[in-house]
Amino acid sequence: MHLECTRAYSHVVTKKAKTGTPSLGDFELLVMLATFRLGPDEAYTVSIAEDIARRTGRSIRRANVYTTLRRLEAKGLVATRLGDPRPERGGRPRRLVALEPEGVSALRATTTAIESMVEGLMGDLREEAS
Amino acid sequence: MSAPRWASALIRRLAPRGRADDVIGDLEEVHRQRIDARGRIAASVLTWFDALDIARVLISERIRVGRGWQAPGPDGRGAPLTRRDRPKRRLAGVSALDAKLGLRMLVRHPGLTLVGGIGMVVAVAIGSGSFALLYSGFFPTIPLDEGDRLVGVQSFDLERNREERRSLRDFHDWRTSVRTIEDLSAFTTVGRNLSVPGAATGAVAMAQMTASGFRVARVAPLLGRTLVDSDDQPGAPPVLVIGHEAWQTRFGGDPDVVGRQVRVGDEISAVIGVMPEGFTFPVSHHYWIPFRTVPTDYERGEGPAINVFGRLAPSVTVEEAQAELTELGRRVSSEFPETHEHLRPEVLPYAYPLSEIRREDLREAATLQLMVSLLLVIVAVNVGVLAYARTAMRSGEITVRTALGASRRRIVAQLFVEAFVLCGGAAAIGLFLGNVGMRWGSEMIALEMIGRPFWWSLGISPATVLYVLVLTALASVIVGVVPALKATGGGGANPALSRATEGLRLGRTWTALIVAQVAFAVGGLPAAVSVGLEQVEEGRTEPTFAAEELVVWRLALDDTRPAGADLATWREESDDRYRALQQEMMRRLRAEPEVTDITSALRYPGTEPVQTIEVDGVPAAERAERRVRSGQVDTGFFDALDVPVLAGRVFDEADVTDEARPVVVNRRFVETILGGANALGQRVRYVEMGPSGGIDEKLPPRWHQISGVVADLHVNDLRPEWVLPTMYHPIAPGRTEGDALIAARVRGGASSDLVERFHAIARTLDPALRLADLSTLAAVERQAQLALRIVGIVTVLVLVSVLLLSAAGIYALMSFAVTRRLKEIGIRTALGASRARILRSVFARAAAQLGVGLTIGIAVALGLNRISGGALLQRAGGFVVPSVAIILLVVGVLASIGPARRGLRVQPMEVLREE
Repeated sequence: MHLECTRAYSHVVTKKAKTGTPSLGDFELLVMLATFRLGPDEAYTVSIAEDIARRTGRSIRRANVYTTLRRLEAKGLVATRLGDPRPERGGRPRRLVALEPEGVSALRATTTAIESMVEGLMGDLREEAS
Repeated sequence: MSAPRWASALIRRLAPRGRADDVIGDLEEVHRQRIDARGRIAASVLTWFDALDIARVLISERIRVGRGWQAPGPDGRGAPLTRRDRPKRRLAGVSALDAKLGLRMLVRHPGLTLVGGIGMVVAVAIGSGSFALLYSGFFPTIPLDEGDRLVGVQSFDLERNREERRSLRDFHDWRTSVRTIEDLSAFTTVGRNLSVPGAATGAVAMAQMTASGFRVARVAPLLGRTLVDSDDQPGAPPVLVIGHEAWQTRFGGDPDVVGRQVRVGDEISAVIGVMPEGFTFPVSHHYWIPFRTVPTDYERGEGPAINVFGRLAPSVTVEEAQAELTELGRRVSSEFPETHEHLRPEVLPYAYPLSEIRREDLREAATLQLMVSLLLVIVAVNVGVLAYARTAMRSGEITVRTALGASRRRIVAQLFVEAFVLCGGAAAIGLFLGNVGMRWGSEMIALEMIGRPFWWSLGISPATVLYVLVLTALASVIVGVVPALKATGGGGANPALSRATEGLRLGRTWTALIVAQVAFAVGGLPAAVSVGLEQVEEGRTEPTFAAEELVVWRLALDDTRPAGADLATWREESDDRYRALQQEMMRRLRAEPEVTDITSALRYPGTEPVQTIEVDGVPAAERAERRVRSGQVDTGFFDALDVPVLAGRVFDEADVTDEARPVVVNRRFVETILGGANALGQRVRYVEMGPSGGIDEKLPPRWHQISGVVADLHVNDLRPEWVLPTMYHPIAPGRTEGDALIAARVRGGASSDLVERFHAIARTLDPALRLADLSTLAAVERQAQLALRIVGIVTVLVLVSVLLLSAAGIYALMSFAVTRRLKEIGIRTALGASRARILRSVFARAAAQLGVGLTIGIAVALGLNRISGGALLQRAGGFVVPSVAIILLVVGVLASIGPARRGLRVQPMEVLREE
């Protein structure tokens, strides 16, 4: 299974920073952040899509979240497991997502990079926007 | 509430192993949220888009995995291919531009689009509708836990070539000895009056089922419990399990329904459980009562008709179960040869015995489907002919493309895509119409049964879509690729060379196509017209009596045998009770002010069984003409229906027991059987035909004397012979058996109040007495005619589209053939040929082509006529063959006139300069 996923997604953006920690694409970052926020018992495709949509105001297609999660799983940044069957899902389980240690460090590296790039710019950016 | 089945099925098919459930779960969860927020329809549409979006992702994932893309090493490095690096693997270079071109072609050639489109739509609609029915019949998905492990068991009578359902004794044998099938169960559908305190009382259909049936279904009750084995024991307290729908409608969704007492037939039963929504196992049932029969009550081969089913034991195959049953059957048949010598137990997929399908039927059904599919191929060939003319006209464009470097493959692919746009569009509409037709058809079938079986899915199944796709691709090949290969063929890469040889080859092809087209239309249409006409004509049979005023029903008594009572004595008592109740019922109905008359008959008028008779002293005439309907009616029947008496008298009470066995015949009988002679006093008898076609004299002669002649009960203004000669026998009023029809003539037709009053009278007489199949005779007549009319309409639709296509095809071919000769005409004019001579030569060729086609077509029609024993031309061919021939001739001549006139106007100098 893992091999299949790896094969399936290996061609898609696997950027690696010089330090060896993989860096994340735009949407990957959003998915990782939502997963981190929701925690290992609440993060799954639907809740992640809703969380991103609510916070960013973007319309999110679940198919994209699904693909991204599969890709992150193939890279070893997140792990998934099946939850309990639930009546509102017609007796089907959720596939719950949790960050792997490597995923946490990738998230940290990317957000740190963004933070350091944004430092001192936020005020100007807001002015520009207004 | 759940997400559309289609969407789930799509995801399940595409998702990687172990991933389907949670993705469908997501779909389901969001779908339910949407229903609450936006309503059911909007939710279904959005879920659909969602499913397609996810399917897109899953498909691309599959393709990537399938292509074995380079996996990175354990360090995550490797040689990952990016989207840009991916090799371009397009199918022969087909692009979206081709589809766009195809669409443009549809607009530019509206004639071809319309004619070809209509033909394809009709063919796909019929093909997909019949495929969907066939597929859901033979490969049903039983929507239960491990539904594919459910099997039906039945005895098949090899001698009579039909199933034997009276297998109560066998069922008990199987139950105790069969090991390969678990929880072997039986059910039978019974009608019962259900009376719930505080709610309307009415007759309902119930499944009388062994408790084990619920174990087979593996569905837990919503409230209370299901039947258990102790409920099946004779003498156990009567109980009833109800379905969700019945709970909501009859019991108002009462949460304390479990334990309530209701009256079922002549028993007071306790409701013990409610099944969840959508559960209508074993077929389409909403009520379940225990199946209590003692096997020793009945001899082998006797007793009620039952359906037996069960679940294959773990890891047992159908073949293994069949082997065990076969062995068991062999033992029983050697033990009881007189009843079981010809019986063979069969293990079948669950739905087969319930739909009266056998495995052997599949071959026949598949052949039929193949024939239906051939219709599309024929249509496609016709559209192909049209497209051929168009493609040939585009030879200039093709040459330019070739010169610019397009390969033959590329051009063929482009023409295929163009054809696919036409065929695909038509197929989508056809698929939709076919589905509508199938829904309609299955609702009609469901009306005849007690409801829609729970395994019928009315949506468009993936299998049907696949079938239509394959047919569409095939049609596109015929429509696009074949003409394209022809147009680009020969000469290889040198278009100039290919054009040099084109004239001769295409000339022959044209001639062959025109001849084939005409021959097909002239030869094939009469047969189809004759089938269609027959149905339409039969559908024109109308009653001469006031069918709207006649309310008919069967009087049923749901007698339950008390535990321990002797069967024979109980049956006798029950029959007496039934007759007494029937007489009382008729007496009370007569007292109703709106009811003017009451009568009874064994069958609906016009549906009586057909038998062969012999008239005393009249030499045997044609065998076919001595076939008559044989009806049994009570003595007041003709008065009640206001049927005029034409001669003699109708029945009175004494006739029932009269030694002369008097019969009444209809006018048609006198006209056809007696040749208009005086019927009164003549003697007739039923005869069996012996193997040599003569009368089998072994039977004792039982003569009947004709005592009266009445008017026909039906007329058919188109085909009087559809009304058969009929002979009526008297039965005593109020003394019929349980399956006789009782009819009340109601002034001004039946109102729902009156119908309810009728039901109430029956119930007050006896709670176990009910009026089954209650309807007006007019409704019965309409129902019978509807099916005939539908077949007629469909046939006419097919005929019109075939004729339209043929005419259009011939027009295109003829006009193209003449256009191609423009140069020749110009040169001949330049050389001094007269107009008349040129026109003669153009029409001579057209006439020769049409003439050969007509001759072959007529020969085919005559051949088919001979095969059908002369019925074909007698019925329809007489006018169809000449009219089709004339239509095609006119079309052919019209198609030649335009180009011929254009040819005559061409300046000779222009032509010579071009040369």
